[in-house]
Amino acid sequence: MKIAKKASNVVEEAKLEKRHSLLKLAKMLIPYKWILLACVLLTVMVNLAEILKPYVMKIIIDDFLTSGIAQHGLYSITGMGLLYFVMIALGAVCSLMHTRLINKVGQKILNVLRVKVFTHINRMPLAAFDRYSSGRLITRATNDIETINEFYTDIIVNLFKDVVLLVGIIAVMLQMDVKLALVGFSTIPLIVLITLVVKKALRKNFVKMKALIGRINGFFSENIDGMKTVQAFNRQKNKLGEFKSLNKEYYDSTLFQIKMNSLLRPLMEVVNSLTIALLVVYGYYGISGGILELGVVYAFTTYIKQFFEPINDLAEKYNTIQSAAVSADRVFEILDDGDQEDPHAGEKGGRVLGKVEFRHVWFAYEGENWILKDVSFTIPKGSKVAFVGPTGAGKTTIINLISGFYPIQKGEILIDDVPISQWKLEDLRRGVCVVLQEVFLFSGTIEENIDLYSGTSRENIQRAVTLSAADTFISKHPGGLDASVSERGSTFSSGERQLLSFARAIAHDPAVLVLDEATANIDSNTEQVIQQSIKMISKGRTAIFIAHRLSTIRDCDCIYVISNGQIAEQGNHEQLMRLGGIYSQWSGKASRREDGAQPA
Amino acid sequence: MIRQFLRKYGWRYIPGVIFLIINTYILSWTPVFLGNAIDGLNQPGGALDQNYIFTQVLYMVIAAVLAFATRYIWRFYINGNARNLENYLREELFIKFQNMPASFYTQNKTGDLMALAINDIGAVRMTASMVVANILTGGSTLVFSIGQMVSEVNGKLALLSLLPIPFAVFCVIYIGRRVQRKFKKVQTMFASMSGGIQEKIMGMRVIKAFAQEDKSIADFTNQSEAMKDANIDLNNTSALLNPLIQVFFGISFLISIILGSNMVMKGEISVGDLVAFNNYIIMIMGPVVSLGRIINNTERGRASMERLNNIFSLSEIPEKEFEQYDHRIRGDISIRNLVYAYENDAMNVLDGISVELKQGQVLGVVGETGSGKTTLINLLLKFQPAPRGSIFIDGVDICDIPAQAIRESIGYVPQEEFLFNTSIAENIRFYQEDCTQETIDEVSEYSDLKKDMYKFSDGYDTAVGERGRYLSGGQKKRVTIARAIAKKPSILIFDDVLSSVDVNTEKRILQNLKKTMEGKTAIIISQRISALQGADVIIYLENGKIAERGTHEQLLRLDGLYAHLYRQQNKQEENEAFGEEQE
Repeated sequence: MKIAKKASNVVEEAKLEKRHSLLKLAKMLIPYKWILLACVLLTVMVNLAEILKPYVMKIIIDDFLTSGIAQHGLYSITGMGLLYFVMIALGAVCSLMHTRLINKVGQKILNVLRVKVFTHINRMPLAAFDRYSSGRLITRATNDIETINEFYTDIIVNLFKDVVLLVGIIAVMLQMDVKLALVGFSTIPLIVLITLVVKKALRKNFVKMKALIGRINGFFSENIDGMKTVQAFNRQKNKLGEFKSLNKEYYDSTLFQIKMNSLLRPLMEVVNSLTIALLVVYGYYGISGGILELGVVYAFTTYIKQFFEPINDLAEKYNTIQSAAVSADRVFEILDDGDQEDPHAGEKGGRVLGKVEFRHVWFAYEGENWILKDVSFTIPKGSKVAFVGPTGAGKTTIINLISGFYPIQKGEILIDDVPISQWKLEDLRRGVCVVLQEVFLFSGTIEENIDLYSGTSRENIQRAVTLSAADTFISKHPGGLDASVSERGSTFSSGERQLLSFARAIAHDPAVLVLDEATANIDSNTEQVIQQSIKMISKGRTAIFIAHRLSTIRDCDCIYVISNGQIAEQGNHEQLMRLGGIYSQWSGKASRREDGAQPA
Repeated sequence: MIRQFLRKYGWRYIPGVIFLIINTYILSWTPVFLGNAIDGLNQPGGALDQNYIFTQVLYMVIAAVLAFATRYIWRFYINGNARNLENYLREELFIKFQNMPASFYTQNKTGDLMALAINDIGAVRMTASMVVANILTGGSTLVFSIGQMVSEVNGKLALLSLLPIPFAVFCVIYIGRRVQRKFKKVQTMFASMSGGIQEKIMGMRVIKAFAQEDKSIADFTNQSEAMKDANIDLNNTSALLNPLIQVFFGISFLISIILGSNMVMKGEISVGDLVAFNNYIIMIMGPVVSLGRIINNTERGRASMERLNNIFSLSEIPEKEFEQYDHRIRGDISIRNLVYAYENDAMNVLDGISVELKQGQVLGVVGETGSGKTTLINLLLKFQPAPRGSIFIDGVDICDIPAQAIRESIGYVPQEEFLFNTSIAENIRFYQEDCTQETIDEVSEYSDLKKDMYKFSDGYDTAVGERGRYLSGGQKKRVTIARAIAKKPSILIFDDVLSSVDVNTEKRILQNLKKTMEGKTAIIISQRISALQGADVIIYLENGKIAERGTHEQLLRLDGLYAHLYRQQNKQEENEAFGEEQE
């Protein structure tokens, strides 16, 4: 097994090191630097057109309309009008190209990131899955990537544009008339103040709204799932009452949000109008003093309107950037975790023959919390063994180790006399097949679930289905092998799911079959079918059972009684009965019950 | 549903619409004031009229403040009512779900029902706030702006320079439709990709066990690539919208500048008029730009409302009022030749079932999956309507007793234990006001829950977590048993409850129950014979028919299906020697 670093260390290091996630997101843009440069140029063009438009109007007003300067060719009202249109058209074309280019880049990066994260998750050893929990990994690969999507499509597209526009307008205003420009800027502190105050209230309320809607949806879905109980106990009214009060609380918080939002935008407009009023008043003194032209005042009133848009935008963007940064942090926490396994690495490849050996194996999922203590055994090729013992004794751990899901701390595990760490994981896992108690089915067809991407032939699948005795129930489903399996296979009974998982294992023809016997309630007929199936599919293979049923155990060549992470007893049924230890006590209890005696 | 809402809360739109119209009207005056101010400033050679200019400025500020106030009011009413609609729909949906029969929940997945409650109601809200507000503001802005252009500036200039606008509208609608189609495609792909990610991560153990990571990655890479292409395609189309609008409005500006300036030169209009005119064109641009969004959101809102209406129009179980039935149920149950089939299903699920149970008697039901056991319970609890003349409680046809009265007197323990996300005590009490701490303690004793109480840090006040996930399966089961007994019912129904607790717990519970079941009628469904041995009557169901009937001893003597099952289970029990430690 190839594992770069010890897992737990990585997480801690990652926490210590300050992440520069936004920087990392920005770095992903580097391969597209030439396209980005083009985008920058296009943005400058767009904004230039945007900024020059009022200037053209100024020329028309000052040069032709108020002072009546003679018109020559392009330097005329018609010429300026055309220039004005050309500006708009040019701006439109540049903006179209810019949007398309930058979006393409964003989507490409996102695709790379998505595949990278998914691949990374696929290459994580099971230990990492225990650490992160599936739910968290799913959120990383879906919601967080989606939030980052906004960073590329929304932020990168508009942020730069807004900043350039802002800077451009400021520059032009200052260049045209410094004092008038300062008058125009005089209301900026007011805007900032309003935005800060209202946004703060909004953010606080937003957190509250989110929590409430989460509770409402949780309550709602809980009620759907538990409807039978609610109805059977006649408690609809009580539940509705609780729901209504939650709903009311949420409604109140949304009203607060509406009020605040209704304040923010309109207040901005008031400030905007106020600024224009100030400009006109100042313009009055300037023009009567003969130091200002009318066109300049006009241009300024337009600039002020353009000026407010990006400021508003930037305030909105701030939130998006923040949540993108949080998501990026989380995604890079996964990507920076070097705990990966490579299914292709390893010197030993090829088919597994079926000999399994443990030599003084010590194992703990974490620290010194030993689950297995000095376990040794040899399972010859083709033999059948059972591991028995109470829950938590370490039975499941043993099967986890055989298929190389976790690295051991001390000792050695050998498959066909080769240490497991030297095996190519891919070949090892093809040769050693573990069938778990809880059967996971993917949505798709029955055939796809048995085939599981391996692309094996229909005949092989048919053979596996027959051998595992799954054919009887499959033929009952309309469509047979092509019958669709819904999410998690909820349409199948637990017994049917068991049989399907047997078929899946057999279709892959493993040399070693590891079977965690189900304890779930299965009706008696299915139970017998499963027992029969187990006998059939274990023929000609090394079979390792985590067993609960005496009938399975009794037929085994060797039985290992696991207790507290150690092998307490071993031997076949007769030997262990003669031994008179734990095993014989258990069996005795069972036989006594058969006589009708009641165990205490 | 919308109609009922409007009848109740529709009036709130009246102040909303009135203030919205006032608001756009006030806003339509600002360019005039600005134009006048500019004209005031434009007195080449002559002295500026300070009073006139400052008055115009004052008007501007007053207009801004009034616009602010009216806008605040209309947004509060219109957007507030959209939130109100959201809440109204959510509550109605909640009530509707509560009144749906059990079959509804077997046909619909929780996820789909939740999508209605979250996505569809959200989409309707968006339509009610954003679309309504945009249509109203857009419409009135258009009317007032064009009105001002004609009356305050010049009709001919207005007509000519607005000529390109219909083309812009056409473009927005055309491209908007295509964007919508592509957006739908992207959404579907996104949903399937997310679903795929979720499934593969949940099933990673299986993928790894079969060494199929490479295939899984390749599969995902293809999906992700396709998603990227679809997204780029969508963006390429939607990116067209704004530039196209810009160009059409550019033509408008071109016309207004050239024609308008010449009119200024001829003295037909003033410079201020021209400035105001250009500002009106900018004002008109807003509604045209938002047209695309209006169409999209309307479409989405309509589709969502349709889905919601489909649910709202489903028929509920007809229900008689609870108050009308004051008869206390004793617990005599009589089932007479009950035949039952599901709608659209030719096969009878239950076929000729007859059982007489006197108050205090215990009925045992055994049979394989699909033999009709659960249907029998659903009929008794009125989860499904029973045919008239087949089930009688205390001699009254079940069809004539309100479901509430029946359920009030039945203590039901469902097959799948369900706990609510609250404390153990609240789960046992389950809104029953007269359920004291002593009662909880007592029923916990009976259901064998009490022996575990020391494990919980806060005793009965311990939170059970979502769906009771902090409790073990057995503990959850025992809480549901306690809940059923706490109700002090006349009839107890155990729907295959005991087979999932271990044999010893089962024995203890059964022994305890004997004490509480004094005078109570009980129906115990079980796969495990040991739970049925003490029953007064046991029926063996096979394909909806009673195959065997009698007491435990009688059935053993009969040596039929029941006896066979009994022997098989005894063997199995012996087999399960090593499973016993597990709970």
